[in-house]
Amino acid sequence: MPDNVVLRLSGIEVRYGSTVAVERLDLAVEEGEFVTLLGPSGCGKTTTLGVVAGFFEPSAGEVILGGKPLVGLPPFRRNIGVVFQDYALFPHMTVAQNVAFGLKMRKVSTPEIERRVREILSLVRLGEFADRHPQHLSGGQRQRVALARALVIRPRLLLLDEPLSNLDLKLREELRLEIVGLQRQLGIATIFVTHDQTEALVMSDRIAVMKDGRIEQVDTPHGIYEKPVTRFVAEFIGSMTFVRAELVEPADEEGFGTARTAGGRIVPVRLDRAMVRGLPVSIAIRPEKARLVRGNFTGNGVVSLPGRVVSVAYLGSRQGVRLDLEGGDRGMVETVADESETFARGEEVSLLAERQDCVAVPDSATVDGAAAD
Amino acid sequence: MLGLRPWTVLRAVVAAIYIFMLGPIVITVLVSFNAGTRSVFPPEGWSLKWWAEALSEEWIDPILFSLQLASLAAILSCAVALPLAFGLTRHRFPGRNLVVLLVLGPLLLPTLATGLGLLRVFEFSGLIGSMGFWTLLIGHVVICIPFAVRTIAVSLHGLPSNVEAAAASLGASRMVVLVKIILPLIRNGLVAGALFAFIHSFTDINLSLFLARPGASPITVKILGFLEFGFAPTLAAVSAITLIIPLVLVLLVQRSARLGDFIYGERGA
Repeated sequence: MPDNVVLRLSGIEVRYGSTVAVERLDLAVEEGEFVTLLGPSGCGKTTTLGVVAGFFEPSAGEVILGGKPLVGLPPFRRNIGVVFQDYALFPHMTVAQNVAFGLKMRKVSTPEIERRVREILSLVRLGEFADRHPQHLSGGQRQRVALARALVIRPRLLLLDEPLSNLDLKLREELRLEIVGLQRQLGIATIFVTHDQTEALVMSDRIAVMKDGRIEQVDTPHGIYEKPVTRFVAEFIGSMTFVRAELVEPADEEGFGTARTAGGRIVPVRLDRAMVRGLPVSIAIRPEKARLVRGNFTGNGVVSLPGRVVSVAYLGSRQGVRLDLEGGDRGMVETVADESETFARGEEVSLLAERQDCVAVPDSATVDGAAAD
Repeated sequence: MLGLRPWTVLRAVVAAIYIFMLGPIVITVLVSFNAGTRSVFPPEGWSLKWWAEALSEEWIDPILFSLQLASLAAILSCAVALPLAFGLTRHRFPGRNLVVLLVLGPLLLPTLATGLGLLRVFEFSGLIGSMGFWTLLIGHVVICIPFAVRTIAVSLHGLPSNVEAAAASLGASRMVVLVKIILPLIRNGLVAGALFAFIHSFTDINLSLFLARPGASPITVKILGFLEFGFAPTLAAVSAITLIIPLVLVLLVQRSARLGDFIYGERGA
């Protein structure tokens, strides 16, 4: 695996005066891999991208691309393609001139430039727009020009900084697939920055969830969704029921332990990492993994949390039920909208879940001192 | 009350403003075609003799002098203003406010004060002996810089974000980014700055009064000197020429650069 790594960030730190934008960040991107930096605005994901591109110098840490250290090297010597949220096309140049710019900088011969520009423009289906100016293109077309311009130089690495955020939903969904398709076809290692969890889940080979300048978890989309290691990660991806609790029994050899909820119940939980007894945790339950029954249910082997229905949202084939749980936590259950399964506001119910679907997560990655890996 | 609608009133006011602004100019131009020797309006018959006189060496030389002075002042003030505008728009540095004040100073101070100050400086530095075109040029560059800095800064603010970063990531060094990306995109600001500087220099009298000397006088100083002997119709013709030059220039530039953006501040170039 180490031979396969194209980009390695180690111990990256970026400070502006006394504020820390990125803190001790490590990340490795493999050949041909699509890695997403996911997080809310201000989490340091764009800054991290800027460090790789050379727009910011890190206060500490190393950036190694293809075996060569990049820190100190100006952006124009890095051979990294960058696509920006606002496209950043050159308004005084045509589409073809925009795309040819990087090749001209590399002193590629004119016939070769023409050939490669034509080739890449047809790849992004913009062949007939070569002589237009960017102002006369739609948002989606502009972004495809930006993509072509970044790819035509055959960069070692492609950086995408929220490239879809300025587009409307339908276009976004189309372009998602198009970008991933191109990326796979060209086999180019890519870092994608977004705050949109759906984008991240759909497009990525791996996702790095960031918060306050740190990476909370790096994993496959499936791993991030199914096995969030912190409450923040669980919260950021999809919706979740969180029940505040305290760890009673740490994990056994199967990875299960028990926790005491704020309502005083002892429930079995899944633990994906080592945590100490007495640690404050949140029990995270996906709405689609939970069930609802009327009344106060107690059963063996299942987790049962009593509460009261707050609202019922009809979603066509499914329904979303919000609950006030015992102990003051909010619950979310998504079930099939069935005639026999209707719930009224104020009704006493129990939220049921299997123990493997109740994941205990610490409230922060550093609470127990063990960094997520 | 009088049955006047607001728009009628507004139109009347605007018309009055135009008459007050343009009236004297029209009268001056008409007087220059007067056949008599007195500058009266309306003209007592038509003649081109004053124009013939205005186009003689006596007047054409200072006009050419002013043209050279204004052209060089425009180019040089833009050359100085470009890095200044960069520094002021891109960087926050200690003493930035002081630089802003220094740059805008000539705009805020009466030009007479600037002129007096420059005269003293030239005196102290011993340049007083070689006063003439070059000292005038230095003075004119100083008073033109604020105009150029302003329009260039407006264009720099209007640059699309990230285009420079995009160019750099594609392999363009800072110099190439400047020449291939920034300069073409702020072209309007540069042109407008140069134009305003040219006009400001070409029409300046206050500063030139201090720095001119016989044989090295801009047309404005020459006109003022001539006025002491009364307003001959020749002056009307000369004034008309000095009016036409900036006007033609504005019309020419207007064709390629949108000056309105810098006058009304609608948006960056």
